[in-house]
Amino acid sequence: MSGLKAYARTVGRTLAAWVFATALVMVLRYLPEIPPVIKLTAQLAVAAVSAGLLLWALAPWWRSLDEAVQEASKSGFFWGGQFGTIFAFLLGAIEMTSTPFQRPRVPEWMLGVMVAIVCQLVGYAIFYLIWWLRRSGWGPWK
Amino acid sequence: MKNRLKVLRAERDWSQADLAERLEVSRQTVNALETGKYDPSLPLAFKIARLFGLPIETIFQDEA
Repeated sequence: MSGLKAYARTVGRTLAAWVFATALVMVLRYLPEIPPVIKLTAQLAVAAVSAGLLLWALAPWWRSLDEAVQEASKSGFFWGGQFGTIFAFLLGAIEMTSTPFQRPRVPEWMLGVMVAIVCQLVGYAIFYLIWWLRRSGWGPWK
Repeated sequence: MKNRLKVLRAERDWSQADLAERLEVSRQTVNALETGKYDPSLPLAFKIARLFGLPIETIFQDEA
């Protein structure tokens, strides 16, 4: 697929994904009173579906990149992503422990970092598993 | 891994951009291949071999 065609397809899919995700959010917003557990589950489902749609939107662009560019990106995500995550984690840990006579507290931004780390780890585990399943001849990937 | 890409390309009087277009990769990728900084995947190595009409092992040599 040419770069321009992949770009056009990516933009089209991204717009479609945004429209669909926005519609899901609107449905969630105007839902009648529902138990908090169900609402949280619905929010997680909307976020997961929207993230999946946006990945689907980006797929043509990723596939249009030549293999060296893909390898460079994988290296950047793996090493750069880990460095950034560890750096942010350590920064928070240093801030939490640098005032010895006070009760340690968790800064809000540190909570954000932790949520991001957990989400990244879940995503990493899912795609790591899919990669191996696709190469194991299991289930739909026989 | 060593390779003869630069020589083969020069014999045909192709620029890096020409080769990149024929292989459907970027010019930077061709440069990385020629300088031995990047080893191609098997599909790309076969594509290169087909393009030059040569067996893979006459283009790429393992340094081990």
